[in-house]
Amino acid sequence: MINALFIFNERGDVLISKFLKEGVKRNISDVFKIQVVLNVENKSPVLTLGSTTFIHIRFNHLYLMVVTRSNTDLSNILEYLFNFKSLLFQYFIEVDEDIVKDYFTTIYDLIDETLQYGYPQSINFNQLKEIIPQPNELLSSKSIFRKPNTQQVQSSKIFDQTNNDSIPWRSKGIKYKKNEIYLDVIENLNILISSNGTLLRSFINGLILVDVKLSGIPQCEMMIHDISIVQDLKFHKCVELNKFDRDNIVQFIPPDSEFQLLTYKCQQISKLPFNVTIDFEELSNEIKFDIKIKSLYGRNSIANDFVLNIPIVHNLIDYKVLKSGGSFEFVKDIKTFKWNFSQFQGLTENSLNLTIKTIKSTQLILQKPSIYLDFEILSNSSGLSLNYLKVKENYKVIKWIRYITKPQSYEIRY
Amino acid sequence: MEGHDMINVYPQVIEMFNTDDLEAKRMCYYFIGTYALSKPDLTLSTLPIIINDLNTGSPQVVALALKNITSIPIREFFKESIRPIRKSLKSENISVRKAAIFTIARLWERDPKMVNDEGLMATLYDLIEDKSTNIVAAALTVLLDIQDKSSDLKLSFNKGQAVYLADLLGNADDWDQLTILNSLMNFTPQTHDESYTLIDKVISLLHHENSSVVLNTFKLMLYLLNYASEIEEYIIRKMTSSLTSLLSKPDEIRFLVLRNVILLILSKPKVFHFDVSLFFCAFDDPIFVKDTKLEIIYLLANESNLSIVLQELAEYSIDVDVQMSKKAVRAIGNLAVKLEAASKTCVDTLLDLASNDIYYVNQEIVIVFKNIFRRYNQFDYALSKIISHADKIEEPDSRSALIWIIGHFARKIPKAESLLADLVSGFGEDPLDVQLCSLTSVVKLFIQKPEEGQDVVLEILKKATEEVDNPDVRERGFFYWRLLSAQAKFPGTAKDIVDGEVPLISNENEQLDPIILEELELNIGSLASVYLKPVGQVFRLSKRKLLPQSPAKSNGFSNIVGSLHSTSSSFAEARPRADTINSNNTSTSESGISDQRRVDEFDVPAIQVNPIKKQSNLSRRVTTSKSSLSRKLSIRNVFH
Repeated sequence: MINALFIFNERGDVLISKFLKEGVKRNISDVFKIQVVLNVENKSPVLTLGSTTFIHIRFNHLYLMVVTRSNTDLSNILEYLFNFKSLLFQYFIEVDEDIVKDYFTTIYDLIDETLQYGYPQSINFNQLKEIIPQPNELLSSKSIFRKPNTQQVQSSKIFDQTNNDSIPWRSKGIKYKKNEIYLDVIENLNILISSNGTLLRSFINGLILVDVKLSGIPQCEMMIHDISIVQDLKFHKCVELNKFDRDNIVQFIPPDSEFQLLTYKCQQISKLPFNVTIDFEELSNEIKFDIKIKSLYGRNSIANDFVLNIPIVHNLIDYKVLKSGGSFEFVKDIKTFKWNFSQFQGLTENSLNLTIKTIKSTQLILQKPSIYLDFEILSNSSGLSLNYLKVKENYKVIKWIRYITKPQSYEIRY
Repeated sequence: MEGHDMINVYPQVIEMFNTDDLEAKRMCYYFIGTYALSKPDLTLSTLPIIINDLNTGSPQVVALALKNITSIPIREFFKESIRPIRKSLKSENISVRKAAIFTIARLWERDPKMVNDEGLMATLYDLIEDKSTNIVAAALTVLLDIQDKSSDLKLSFNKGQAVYLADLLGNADDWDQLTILNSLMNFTPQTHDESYTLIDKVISLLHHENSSVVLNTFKLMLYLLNYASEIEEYIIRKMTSSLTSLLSKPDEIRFLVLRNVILLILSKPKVFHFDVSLFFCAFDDPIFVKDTKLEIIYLLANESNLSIVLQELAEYSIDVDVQMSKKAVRAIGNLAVKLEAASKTCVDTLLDLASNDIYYVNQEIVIVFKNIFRRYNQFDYALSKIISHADKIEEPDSRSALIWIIGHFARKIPKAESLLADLVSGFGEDPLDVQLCSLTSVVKLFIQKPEEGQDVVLEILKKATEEVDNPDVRERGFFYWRLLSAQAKFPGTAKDIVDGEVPLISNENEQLDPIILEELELNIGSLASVYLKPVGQVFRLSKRKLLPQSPAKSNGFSNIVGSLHSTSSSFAEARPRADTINSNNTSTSESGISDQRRVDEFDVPAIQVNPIKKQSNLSRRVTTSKSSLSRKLSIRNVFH
C-alpha cells in the first residue's frame, strides 16, 4: 500500500517525511521535488516512474504526498489523503507551513496512528484526540468558534477503545443544556449557457450539512419530499443504508459535530435564477459589451454578494462604463471586470454598457472566456424539500433548516 | 539541523528510553526506527528495554513496541518478537491486537518460512472469525497483502464465508469495509444464485459517501455479474449513476473516476451508457481533468450527439489554453476519421476554425487534415483552403503534415511544385522529421509531375546527399537517387514504392485487447486503471488477475432484463425493483440530449427595470486592488 508519506511546502522542501515500509530510499523526495513540485507542466495527481508512484493532493501551498511501489488501490489512497487533510484541519483549525512545523510531532503521531503498515485505518477525530491530544493552545482558541449558548456540559468520559458496542463516530455521555439541530440544504448550481441561449449544462450538486448539539445517543429520522427529483444520493457513514433502500427514510445517529449528511445530484433544474443577455461587438481597437441581467426568482428573495465577472484576454488601455446600478471595477491581476451588487432583488432587471479600448493587435483575438456569476440565494433550485425531521429523544429539540443556492460554475458564453 | 547530525545524540536518546512519558517514549521509538541501521550495536542495546515495554507497558506502549521490534531489520529483534506477538494477539485491547496482526505482515516480509513454522498464518485464518470486525478486517488486510507477494498463497472463500464477510459490512467503518469488499474478490460464485445473493448484500454501498467504497463496490459487483445469467437493468443504472455521482468530488478523485469511465466505455460499451454532456469541461477544471474529459467526449461521440459534441469541441478549440485548444482540434479531426457519416460536418467545422487564422489552431488543423485526406477522397474543396494557409505553418509536425499533403496530392494541386519548393527551401536547417518527409514528398511530386518536379527533386536530393550530415537523411537521399536513376530499367517500380497505395487508417488504437480489459476490470480504482495498461506492464512484480473459472461463469452482460434506453441518459436514479417501470416513463427521458432546454423557458417579466444612469464617471482608472473574492478566484490567472 503506502510506502512513505511526505508533506512538502511549495518550494519543494520536505516538512515531514514518514517511511512506513521498506522499498523506498530517503532521497526519493528529491525526485518528487524535481518531477512534480518544480515542474510547471506536470501537475497530474499521479506520476509513475519505473515502478514507483507518487500520489499527491495540494492545499494551502502544501503538498501531501505518498509513495507506493505496487499497483495500489488509488481510490483508497486518495480518500485517505483527503481524510487526513480534514483531520489536520480538525486538529489545527488552520493548516499552513508554520503549523506543520510548529506541530511536527503531533502530525507525525497522527500519521503513525492512521497508517498501519501503510494501510489506512479509521481516521476519526473524536477517537484520535483521546490518544493524541490536541495542542492546548489551540483548544482554547477553538472556543471562539463555539456559540456561547451551546456550551458543552463536558464530556469527560474517555472514549473506550476496547468497547465494541460503541458507535465509532460518537462518544458516550454527551450533554447539552440546549438541544439543537441545524440543517443547511446547499445547492451548487452548474450552469453553462451557449451563445444562442441553449442550456448546455444544467445540474445541481446538492448537499445537506448538519450541525448538531444533541445530548446522548440520539436517533434521528428524516424523509425527503418527492425523492424522485434527485439522483445519485450519497450518505454519511452514520446513515442506515439498508433502511433507506427499503423505506426511503434517512435514519442516523449523528456525530457530535458539523458533518455532511448526504449529497445528491439533480439533473432537472426547476428554476433558473438569472437571465443574462449579452451583446458583444469587436472593433480593431475597441470592444463593446451590452449586458442585461434579469433576476427570475421571487420579488421577496434576494441574491447576496452578486458579481457578474467579465474576463478578457485583450490588453486594455482604458474603459468606459454606463450602468443601471451596482458598483464596477477592473481587477488587473486576473484581467476581469466585476459588476457587483451587494444585494440583487428578485424580478429586477439591470443593464450595463461597457466599452473597452484595447491595444491594437494585428491578429484578431477570438478567445472569449465565458462570463461567469457569483452569488448566494437563500432558497433552493431543485425543488427538494424535507418532509419531516424527527429526533427520537425525550428532550426538546430546536430544529433549523435553511436552503441556499449558489453557483459552483455559472457560465455564459457569448 | 541536517538529518545526519542527529545520529550523534543516539546514546542520550537511549538514556531517555526508560521514561514514563508516553510522548517522549514515542519520540525515542521514532528515533531508533530511523537510525537503527546506522549504529547497529547501539540499536542492539535497546532490545532489553523494548522487551520490557512489551511485557509491562500500557497498551499504547505495547503497540508502539510491537511495531518497532518488527520493523528494525536486525535478526535478533524479530526473533525476539514471536512470543510477544502471540501474547498480544490474545490481548483485551483492540489496538494492541491490531498492531500484533500487522507485525505478522512485517515478519512475513523478512522471513516467510518462520511465520509459517510458528503457526502465525494459521492464526490469521482463525482471526477471520473473530467477533470484532476491526480484527477481522486487519487479519484480512494482512492476508491480502501476503497473497499479493507470495507465490503459493491463494485465498479462496466459499459461499458461507463470503456471506459471513458481507454481513459484517453493515457495522464496519469505511476502511474496514474496503478491506472486506476487496477480500470478497476472492470468492468465486459457483451458481448464479450465489452471485445474486452477494450483489444484494453490497448494492446499498453504492450510496456511500466514501468514493473508494463506491468504486470498490462497483468493482466487486462488476466481477460478480460475470457469474450471473441475466442482469436486471436497474442494477446497471444504479452502478452507472454511482460513478457519475462521484463527479462532484475533488479534482483528484474525479480524475480517477473519469479514467475508469474510459475503461468502461472501452470494455462494456453496450452495458454502461453515459450521457456525453456530463463530461463537458468547466473553465476551472485542471488540465488533467480536461484531458480525460476530452478523451471521453471523443469516445462517446456518435451520429446522434454529433452536433452538440462538435459545438462543444469547437468552443474548446478557441480556448485560451493552447494545449486544450490543440487537443480539441485533434479530437475533431479524429472524429472525422472515426465516423464516416460525420466527416463532412467535422471538416466544415475545422475549415470554419481555420478561417479565424489563429496561429496555434491552424498548426494543429493541418496535422489532422493529413489523416482526413488520407482517409477520404471527397474533400478536395478543403485541400485548396488548407494549402492557402501554407505560409503560416511553422511548427515541425505541422510542416511535415503539409509537405506530406502536397507531395501526396500533387496531381490535384495547381502549382504544387512551387509550393513545395517554397516549403523545402530551408531543407538544410529543418529538423530530421521534416527533412525525411520532404525527401519523400519531392520524389512523389516528381513521379506524379515529372516535368514540373524535376528542379526541386534534384535540388533536394543533392542537398540531402552532399550537405546534410545525418546518416539517415543521406541514406534515404542516395536510395531515392538510385531508385529514380533506375526508372528506365524498371519502369513503375519507383511509383509502386514511393507513391503506392497507402494503408487505410482505422481507429483500432482505441480498442484494447479483451484480456487486458478483463484484467483492468478486476483492478478498477487502482493505479493500472489510470494508465489503462496491463498491470504487469506498469508494475512488473504485480500478480496477474484473471476471472476465475466456475460453472456459473456466463455471459450475463448480453442478457440485460428490462430495456436499456440507449437514447435517454442512464443516470436517472435507479429505483427499487417494484417501481422500475414507473421511473422509466418519468425521469429518464428528461435529461437526454435530444430535448435541450433553453434559457427562454425560464423567463418571466421583471417587475422593476433599472435604466442605465448617464453618469459622469465615463472614464475610470484601472484598479489594482484585489477584493477578497478575486483572491479566491486568483486561480484564473491563466489570462495573464
